[in-house]
Amino acid sequence: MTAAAVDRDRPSAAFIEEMRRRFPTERETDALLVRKLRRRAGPPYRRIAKDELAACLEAMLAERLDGPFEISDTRWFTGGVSKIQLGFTLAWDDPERGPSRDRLMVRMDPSESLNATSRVREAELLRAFHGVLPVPGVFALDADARWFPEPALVYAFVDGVTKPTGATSGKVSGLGTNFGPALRERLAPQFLDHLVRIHTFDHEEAAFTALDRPRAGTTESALWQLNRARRVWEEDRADDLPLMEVAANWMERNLPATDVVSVVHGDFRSGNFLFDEATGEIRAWLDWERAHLGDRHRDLAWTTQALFGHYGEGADRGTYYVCGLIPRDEFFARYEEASGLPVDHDALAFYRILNCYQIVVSTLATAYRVARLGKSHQDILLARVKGEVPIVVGELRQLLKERM
Amino acid sequence: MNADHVHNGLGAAIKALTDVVAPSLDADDPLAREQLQLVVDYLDLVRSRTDLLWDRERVTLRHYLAMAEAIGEVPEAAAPSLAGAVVTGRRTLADPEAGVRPLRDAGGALAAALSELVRALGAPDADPALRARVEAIVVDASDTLVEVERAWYLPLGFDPEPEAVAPVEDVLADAGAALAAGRRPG
Repeated sequence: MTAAAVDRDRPSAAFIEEMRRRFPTERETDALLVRKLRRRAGPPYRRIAKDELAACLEAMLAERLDGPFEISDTRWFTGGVSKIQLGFTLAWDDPERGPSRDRLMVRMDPSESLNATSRVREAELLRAFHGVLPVPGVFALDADARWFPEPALVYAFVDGVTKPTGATSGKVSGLGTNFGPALRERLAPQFLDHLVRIHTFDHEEAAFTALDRPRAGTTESALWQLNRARRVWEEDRADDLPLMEVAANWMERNLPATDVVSVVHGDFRSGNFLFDEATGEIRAWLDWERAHLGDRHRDLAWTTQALFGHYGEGADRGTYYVCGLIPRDEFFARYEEASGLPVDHDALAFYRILNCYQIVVSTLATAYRVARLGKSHQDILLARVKGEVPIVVGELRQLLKERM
Repeated sequence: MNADHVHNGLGAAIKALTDVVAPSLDADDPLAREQLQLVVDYLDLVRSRTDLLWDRERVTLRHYLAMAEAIGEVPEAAAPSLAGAVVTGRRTLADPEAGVRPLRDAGGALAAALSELVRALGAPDADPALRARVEAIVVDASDTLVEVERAWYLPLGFDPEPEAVAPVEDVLADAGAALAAGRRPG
């Protein structure tokens, strides 16, 4: 069906069912996408005041905590495109530590987001990786928007920055950050080590309820991820782009089997970790909302995506730094050595194409739809990401040309 | 000579937002400050592109028309709307009075018809030789629009190689002339 053939601003029940039938994917993802479409014809996002959000928080904590507590120092945080974030300080009586003052964050969906993702999944991943990686500790979860206007997660505030203070590069969402040579040297080994820890994590023992487990040795994982991206393209777009259909055809014909099922972070890149600028220590990995069980090549392809890195300067001009941290030539060799997991370049090629496809889906289709309907707190930022589209389409075209 | 009042008005809007609104924002509202800068940047982009909107839509239409012409005749069942979109595209392009909207609609109709064709050829029972030929043409031809769009959005700062991108006026002129002459731009 063409972009103009369907009223995507007011999707019908038949259209929703058709999307489910044509593009089966993980159950949690399916439920989120259905919820997104069913709510689409609803009102635009209305900016919520700090006091309103604090009142939601107070109502939730009154039910969850025994004893008195006090919320103070509420403040907005920017950073990230897709979620509303409010910081606050909680004074309360922790049963284990006694009277405590904790700095926390509320992370809540807008009415419709650039990514229809699950706070339950995010909380499960953060809990699973507590003690394995630097991650914020989960404090509370409002999975069904019982207290907040939308599903929300409350977790520990972590001090740190996503890019050097005064960095001249690095856009709003932390893409293409230039850390400079000194920080690069400190951050790069941790960055690689953390990726390896995610991919070698023993997920069989983890109590995940919001993640489906694909079978190793099959193309199931690749198909779920492809179907998710194709479905969102069909659900959100206002434009037709023949190259996207070529990419979909090619991916359908070239689904790779997953050799080892791993936890996949889904957005492992600069901009999504906080670090201490003085010591260069990575303090927390954020944005687990796209995490899933699947093929590590999805992360490897994502992390090495052209948008997220940059070329060196001066004599170093010919070196491309993955996420601004590790020369591309070294990245895969160091990963293989540290993880003991091979890098399959055919699988990598597939996921590079899928990732480009997915970024085009988000930046051309979803960003347009959400901004058009005024559904988020960042509509102007979503309108702006159209500027990423030609860069990623150019990369997609080049990747297809190499493989066809 | 008529003055450009749209350009002038957008400049005034940018100045008001920068000089008057920005300093009055609540210091405790980083989202408002960040979004104001994004608004200013976007207005600035639009201000630098208003004179080029018509050229852009013509190049986009020419691009899809050239892609369809390179593909040539295909079974109607695979692309029921392609022949009609080509006719409308040619007629719109030949009409010097056609404004931005009809140009955009004609380009969009061609993009939709071509997408429909590629999708149909992805079916397991489709002709593999035709599919390979069509897919190769689409991939090969897509660079024209990529280069136009890279130049168009360059001021937003996403391009990892900005020094490799020519001024948008030059890219549009080059692409328009090349497509009109039936050759690849560049």
